[in-house]
Amino acid sequence: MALIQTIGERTYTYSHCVGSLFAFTAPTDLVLGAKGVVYAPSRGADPGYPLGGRQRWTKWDLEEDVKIVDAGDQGSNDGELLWPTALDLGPDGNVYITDEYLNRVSIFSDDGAYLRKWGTPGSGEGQLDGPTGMRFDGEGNVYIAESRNNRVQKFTADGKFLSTWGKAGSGPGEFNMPYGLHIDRHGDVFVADWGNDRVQKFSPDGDLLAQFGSSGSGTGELQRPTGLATDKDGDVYVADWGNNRVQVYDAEGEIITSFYGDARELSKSATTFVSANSDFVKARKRADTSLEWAFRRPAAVAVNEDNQILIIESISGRIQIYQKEEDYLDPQFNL
Amino acid sequence: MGSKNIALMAHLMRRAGFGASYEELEARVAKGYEDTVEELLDPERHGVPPLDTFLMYRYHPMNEIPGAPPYGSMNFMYYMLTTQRPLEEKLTLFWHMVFATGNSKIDNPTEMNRQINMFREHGLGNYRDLLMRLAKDPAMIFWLDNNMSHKHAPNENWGRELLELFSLGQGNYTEDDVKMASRAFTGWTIKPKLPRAPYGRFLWQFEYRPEDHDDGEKEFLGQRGNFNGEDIIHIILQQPATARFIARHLYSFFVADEVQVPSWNDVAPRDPEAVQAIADTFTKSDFDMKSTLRFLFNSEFFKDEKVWFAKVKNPAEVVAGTTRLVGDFQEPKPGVMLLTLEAGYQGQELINPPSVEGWHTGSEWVDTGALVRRVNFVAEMLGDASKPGVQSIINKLGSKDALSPEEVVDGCLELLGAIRVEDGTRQQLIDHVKAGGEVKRGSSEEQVRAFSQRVTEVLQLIAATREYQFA
Repeated sequence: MALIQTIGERTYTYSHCVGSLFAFTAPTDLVLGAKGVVYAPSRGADPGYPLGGRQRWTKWDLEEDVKIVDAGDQGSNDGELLWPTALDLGPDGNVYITDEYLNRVSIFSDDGAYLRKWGTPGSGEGQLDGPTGMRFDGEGNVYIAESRNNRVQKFTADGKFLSTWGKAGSGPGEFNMPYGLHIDRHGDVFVADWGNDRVQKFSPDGDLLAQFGSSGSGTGELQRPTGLATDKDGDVYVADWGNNRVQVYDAEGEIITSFYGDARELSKSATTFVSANSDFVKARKRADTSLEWAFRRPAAVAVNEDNQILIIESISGRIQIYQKEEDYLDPQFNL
Repeated sequence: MGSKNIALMAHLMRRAGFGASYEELEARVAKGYEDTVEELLDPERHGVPPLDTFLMYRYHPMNEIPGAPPYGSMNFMYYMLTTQRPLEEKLTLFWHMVFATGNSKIDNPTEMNRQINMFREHGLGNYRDLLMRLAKDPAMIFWLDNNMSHKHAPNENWGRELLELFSLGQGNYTEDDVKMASRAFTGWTIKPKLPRAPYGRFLWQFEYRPEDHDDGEKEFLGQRGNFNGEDIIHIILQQPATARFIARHLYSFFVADEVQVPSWNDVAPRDPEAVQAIADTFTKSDFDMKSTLRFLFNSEFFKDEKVWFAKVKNPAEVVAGTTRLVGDFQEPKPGVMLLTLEAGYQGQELINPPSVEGWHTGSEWVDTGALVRRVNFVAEMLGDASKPGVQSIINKLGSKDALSPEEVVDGCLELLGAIRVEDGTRQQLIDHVKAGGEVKRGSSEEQVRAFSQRVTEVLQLIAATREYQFA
């Protein structure tokens, strides 16, 4: 994609990137914190070998491109994680993380101290089997998608069951291993229906409002969508993980455009790493660095108040940032 | 319970796959031997789905672009544990063991996995096509230094191993042929590589540089011309020695253990007629692997009981076969890394053979250290009554309330895949069961637990027998 593109009365400009594989190890989600701060859980490596990258969550300073907090560890004891999937900030300011294998929500303080957990395995109301996408709504309640129970459940922040909808299948309102979940500014719930290659939009009570996307790699099609987000205009950004792109739809689900990654420059932290090693500098001069530009398994998307679109990549451990321009189409003076 | 059909099917599935549960053996017997061979050879046509790589990468993201080396091996192990196309995977292992390329030098598991995937995609196709792909495979080029082979300074590593280990075999070419082959492959190289950090590894890219290729005249295996690499491969395939060499590899991997490759020039094949028959089929089919394996699996020498259990299982077979037998890891879950490491502890670190000669096989798989690991691993798996495959064996045996010691032992041997043990071994197992008293299933929770324990004890003892080490 060009670094600047104007389409559908919207203009997107590639801005810059942050992070590297030293920042995040197979990240699965991306959440905005205070201005200039993001949080991401790292799925890490399969247990058994010490050098693979541990399971954890990271609080990251976007401006300085440095770590603020790095917490959690590999395992199944309290405060440990095996398949961390989604992360969100609760109304109490704490960090909540779903664990798709341990079937629980672990809660940490913002500075990384383990506090508590909730969730019991099972398929009954209020139980969890494969908790994945998770977001708090404006009232402080939390919605959780489940990959093995194929449903969405709503809980209070301390894990008290409130309501549920959905079952396994490919029909309207049904799920096949749902992954990411997002709540827009109206309180509607979007679910990345991973195995069905689509996005479904529900009212806060679980009424199906819309669905879009179908299997494939063509325009508007999806291949195992993971994360998703909306901007203040209602446009929907979907991490089209299997196709290595991010698809942008309008509020009605009509495709607008796609991002494929444009990271022509290294991030600040990556630049620091490379410049400290003359062999890397030399190798990069000889090699085709354009291989690095594209997304490698974009896993999650977040959109901030400044209309910046942040996309985190599972393989490269990098966040690429695009800017949606609001005044680009204003009348131009004859300068 | 047992039948010769089951035993023959178990033999086929041990060789053309990683063994099978008793339920699968029964289903395959009902389908028929030849139809099973056809399904194994052509899973696509029979509607057997390929492995869902998206599912693997969702739960094991490191399998896609691995960082540390063992995670590269984990990708291969995951395939062996879960594939529904066992022959495709077994043949992938076969080619990996013949065209041995090691991550110890490549140091890029992602690139190694691409090579493995090439074997997976094309291993059942044409050998000529496979050799051409191999000659352009970036991992192989780097492994055998062809990126260091230049027009005015050819490096002979790839040229030599292509003839010695990948096609003709020792004694069927001269040193001059090595030099000519090496000259013909000059200019076959790789593009400059991106470093592994800061964004992880990227695949390498083959590049042909005509300006660095020696286009001069060469005499190779009695033919003269301005040969390039493709010409060398075509000439190699015209030599009867090539078909015999690959045929002996196939015999050793699928039928019965041969001596180690370096001795092939000095020691005659175990069954020269069988090897020649495989070679003839290979040549007549224009080096088509599917036709050749169809002939092999349907041949009398393959079905002959004399070659049943005539192979020592390689560690990947021990680990993947046993794990599949007990029905573990059929759904994504953590722990594949531990199984991957286990194969390495037993002497076969996948994607990292010790040299271009590959692993020494047969009885050389087993030394005292490896044997203890093999026995302990299998015994732990078979001793876990919570595993679905073990539970199934217990339930099958428990369909009768009281069993004689002979029924327990013979039943366990049969349900583990029609395993045959020597009379003395069988008697020792029976004596052990006898010493433990009457074997009754009962109905109370305690009785059922005790019954399970008696059965798993026997399964564990079988795991410790000499015979279980054979495929």
